[in-house]
Amino acid sequence: MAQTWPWRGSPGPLADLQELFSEVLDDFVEGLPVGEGRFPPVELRRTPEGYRLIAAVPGVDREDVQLSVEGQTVMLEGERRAPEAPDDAEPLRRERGAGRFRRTVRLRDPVDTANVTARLERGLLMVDLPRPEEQRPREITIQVEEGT
Amino acid sequence: MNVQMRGQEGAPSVVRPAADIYRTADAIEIVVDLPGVDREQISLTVQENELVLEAERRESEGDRVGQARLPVRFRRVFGLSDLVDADRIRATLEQGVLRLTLPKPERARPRRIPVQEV
Repeated sequence: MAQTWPWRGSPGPLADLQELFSEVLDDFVEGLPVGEGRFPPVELRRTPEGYRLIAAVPGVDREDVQLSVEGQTVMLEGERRAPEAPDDAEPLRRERGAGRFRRTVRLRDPVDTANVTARLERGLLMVDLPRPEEQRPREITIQVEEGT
Repeated sequence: MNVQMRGQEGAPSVVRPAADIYRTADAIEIVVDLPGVDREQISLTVQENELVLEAERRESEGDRVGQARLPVRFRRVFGLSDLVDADRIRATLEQGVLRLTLPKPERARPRRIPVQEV
């Protein structure tokens, strides 16, 4: 049986060590280089509901980005087009890059893949990945008996 | 603007945003990546021969996990030559991309000079 790290509790002897490293464990970029280094840059956050993965994709149209989630792997694929410029435009500096990109982020904890939502806002792709229902913390009411 | 320590925990470092620059017959076009930034959070000032761009975005909710971190504060200075008309700079923001149009003054635009027959 595959071992998954629980959200809370004692995750085992390796957990502390793993905590030191990025939870973004594995990623790669394919195709044309876009910008410097890996594209898109991402940030992972923990929210009360689960994870929020934020990818910076300025200038990328909604139709040009695809998102897929399988198990604990989130894949972003798409294309950033070169900015529109008149025919006579002479490029003096090009740092932003354009072309196809693909980036995979592996999460440490499982997510409820059926309920993943994403939105594109001011060039940021916000992906909300809720944790599975059974792994959410539950509030347990403790009954206190009146002393006799 | 305050100078900040790079990588200081809690205080996001200031990042130099990536830019494309084009020259057209009438203007210089600057295209800058400012992901997550609102229009109101952008400051553009012209001083001396420099165009100073400063911007900031609101961070998302939740606690950050791991090392990966998206920039929060941006700053970049563009040198201006006499070949732009600083009073007529236009700026538009779309999908986290700022586009600056710096028109050339009339005298700097290419002109066709008719040759007269005498």
